[in-house]
Amino acid sequence: MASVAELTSVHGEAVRGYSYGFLDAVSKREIRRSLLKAVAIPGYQVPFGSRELPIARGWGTGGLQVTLSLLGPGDVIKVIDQGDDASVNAQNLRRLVERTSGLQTTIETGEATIIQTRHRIPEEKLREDQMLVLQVPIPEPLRRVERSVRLARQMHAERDYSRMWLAIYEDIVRRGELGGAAGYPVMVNDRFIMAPSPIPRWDIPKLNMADALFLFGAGREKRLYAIPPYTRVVPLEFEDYRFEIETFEGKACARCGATDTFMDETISIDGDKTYTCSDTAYCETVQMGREVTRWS
Amino acid sequence: MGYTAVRGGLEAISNAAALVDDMPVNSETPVGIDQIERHLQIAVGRVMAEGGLVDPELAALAIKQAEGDVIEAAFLLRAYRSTLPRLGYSHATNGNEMLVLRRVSSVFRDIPGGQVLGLTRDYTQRLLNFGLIETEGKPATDDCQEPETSNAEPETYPNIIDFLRDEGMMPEAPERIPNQEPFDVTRTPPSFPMPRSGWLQVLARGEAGSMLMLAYSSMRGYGGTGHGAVAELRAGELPVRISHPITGRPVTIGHVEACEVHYISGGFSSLQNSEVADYQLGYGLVVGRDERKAISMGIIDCSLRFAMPSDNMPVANQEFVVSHVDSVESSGFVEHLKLPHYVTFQAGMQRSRRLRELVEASSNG
Amino acid sequence: MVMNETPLLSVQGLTKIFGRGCPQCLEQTGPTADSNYCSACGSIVACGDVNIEVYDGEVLGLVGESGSGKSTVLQCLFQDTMPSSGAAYLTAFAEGRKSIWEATSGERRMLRNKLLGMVYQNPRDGLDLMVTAGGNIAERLLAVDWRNVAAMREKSADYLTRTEVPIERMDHLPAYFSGGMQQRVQIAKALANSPSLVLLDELTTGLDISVQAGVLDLVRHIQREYGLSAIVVSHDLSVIRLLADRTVVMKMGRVVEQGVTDQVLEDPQHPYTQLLVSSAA
Repeated sequence: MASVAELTSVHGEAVRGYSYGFLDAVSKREIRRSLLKAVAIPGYQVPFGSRELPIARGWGTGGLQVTLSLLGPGDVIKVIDQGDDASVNAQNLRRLVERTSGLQTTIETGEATIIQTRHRIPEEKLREDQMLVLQVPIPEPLRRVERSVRLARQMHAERDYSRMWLAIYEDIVRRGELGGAAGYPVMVNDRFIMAPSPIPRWDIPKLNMADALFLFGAGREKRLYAIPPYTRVVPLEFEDYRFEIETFEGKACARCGATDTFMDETISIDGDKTYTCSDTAYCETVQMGREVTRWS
Repeated sequence: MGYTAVRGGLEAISNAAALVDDMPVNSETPVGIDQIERHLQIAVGRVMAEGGLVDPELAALAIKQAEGDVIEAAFLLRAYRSTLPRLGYSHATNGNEMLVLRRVSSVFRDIPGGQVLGLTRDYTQRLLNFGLIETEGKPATDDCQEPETSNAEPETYPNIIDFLRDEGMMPEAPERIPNQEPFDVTRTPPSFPMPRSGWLQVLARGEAGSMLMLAYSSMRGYGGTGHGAVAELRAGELPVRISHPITGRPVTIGHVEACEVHYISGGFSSLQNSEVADYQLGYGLVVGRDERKAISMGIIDCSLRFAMPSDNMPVANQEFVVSHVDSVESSGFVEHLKLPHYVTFQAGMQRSRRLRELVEASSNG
Repeated sequence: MVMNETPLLSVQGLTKIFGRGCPQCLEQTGPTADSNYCSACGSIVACGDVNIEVYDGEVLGLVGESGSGKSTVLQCLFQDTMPSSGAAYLTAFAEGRKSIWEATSGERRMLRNKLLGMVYQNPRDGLDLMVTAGGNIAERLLAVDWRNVAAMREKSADYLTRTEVPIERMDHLPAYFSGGMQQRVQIAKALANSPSLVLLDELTTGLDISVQAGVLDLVRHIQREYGLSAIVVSHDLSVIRLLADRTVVMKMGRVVEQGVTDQVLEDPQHPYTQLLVSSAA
């Protein structure tokens, strides 16, 4: 492990006065212990002593604390926001990771060992040796029916979810179909209702029985949670009203031609719409004619 | 020095003033008002907004005089306003007329006119630069993107909400009534329900921290419209136009630095009991560059317009919001507790003592 | 109905004290002291050492003035509040071997959602007025893991029909219903999951006289048709007379008299009961 002195000599004044991976070693240990607890209790929100970071609250401090606590020499880091490596926010987070660790970063999903993401899961299937760190704005799935943190915790502890189911029933009465857009609530391991972060419905099925480890960090709300590999993750649905993903029927990516990815809508001055793959790295692989494994 | 209310009140006040004058800092080279105006622009903007007076030099003076207390400085400007004659009203301007220096939208990746990041600290990393302590030099700006100056044709920046309106996802813009006199909160005391122009004025001059708390509470489920999105944020300069006193024609007399936010509620996933899957608009406009306050204002405006009416949820309660966001009023009342209250207190103590006597008498009797 | 069978519900020594409580509370209060207030420690004894039984298929009336403790008994049974001491055994719960007040939180939810039903005087307390009528009923079904929307709606419609709420109102919000209709929705909700025992607290108090009769008739009809066991709390003797098979009279937190309703009301033994009956006449 490179010492601060070595890193300072390489990276200069910028890292003077800071630890490897920004956080001090005791903080990292606490966060890793909380993550272990989270992995041991799939879908359960572990409270943790969230540290302030050089990035604002609401901009990814939770995900960042997870990434910084886990990374080490040999790790390769990818950071995306809305599926895009080039977005300003992703660039900014990647830079902080680079500056404080000296680690290699990548755009290629397959090359990364740790992928930090805001609001999307990559289209390329993740392997057993990879970790996906998701940035979470609101970790509490019951917030919609119970505003009090204390009472929501009690509901989780007692598996008392009838008010949540009632809210979903009322959605159906009002709209004739399941409500919810991004961040659809899921039942993890038949025990905890969990907020998967505002990923589109498109990405929800990827959480179920995956090879990779999913870690969730909410810095401002101070919660960590996890879905270990090969865990049952099921969106909340009724027998006769089933969960459905978005469709992009009749639409194709203007860059690569794909018709089977989650797409971004762009408007032009005349009001015309074009669609492009939200996962820019995946779009590149298609354009280059490279085959990658997709989620089943 | 003791503060006695018995006598010598005037003497105490002048002694306090002398203490302020004698402060060690006053013997050093004073910080220049022009320096404050140029180097502490965010504070200057905030003082102008809460003071309700656009004059950067005066705002800088107020900051210096108030030793950096922004609320106190805003108070100085507000007081100064009262001595100035009101000459008239400017014409209503549209946000579209802004000379844009920065303009972003969070609801689409690319937008006509482009995402112009401009001058912002959002993507700086809040790392204390210890090197500064030694060198005392200019704070590093390598992390901020400097705005690029160019001589090209100015871009047009159509409003994002107009695209949403064209698609029927948002209601049409309301009819603009020409030359309508706005409700003027500086002349008319509030009564409820208040017209929207009234609470927008209150919010435009509102205390930034109070508004931040209200907006945050709305996002976390305490009434209001929930998470929502910033359809558009633009910062730049707005023209100020009045009617020429002789010809009556509109004349631009200057520009004001401003930040405008179009905040939209979350569509069908919020406003749970509504029948329609519409996005609704909350409008934020502040003098200066305080984006945090402009977004807060948009959230609060949207909540006041569309949230389920609820008396015990602050941000959805018009009376609560309008009554408690003004810094001059709130700071004055909170701090007035430092004034002598011993008459009322004596009266209270007398009652308490009497009640205790009665209780003791009855338990003994 | 045979008296030496095991009662459906057996309440033993139910005491609820508000305040710090002391050894003198029980003797300082009650009908002979004519007070709920313990002058030794300043506590209020809402009910003291109450013993009652309800048998399968019968309606038990609890009558008394305000301060009698009758509503407190129901609140304790439904566990809106916990008693200071006592035990209560319900045959449907742990075969009547465990007091309901010893229940775990999961067991308590089952008691409140399935084994018991409660109708409050104020519909606000028993319904979420901003959830549809059908949704209010569905909440109890969801609590016992129903997961089919069509099945839940059919069941809710069935309960609403039984309580004479028009089906078209199933997807409307009770906030906009009349008081009488809100009570009917509450009754429908209380019936969901076919509880062993339904608790009715001042069911018609607060409703217009013209509406009261309809609701009372409904309850009587449902009770006869489905053999419901119930406890009806009221200060109104005519309600008790109409609905209750047996009646318990309470004063100042104590039971002063109990027996077959007709007997208690026609031939009251305790001076307080005599007072009640004669003032109602």
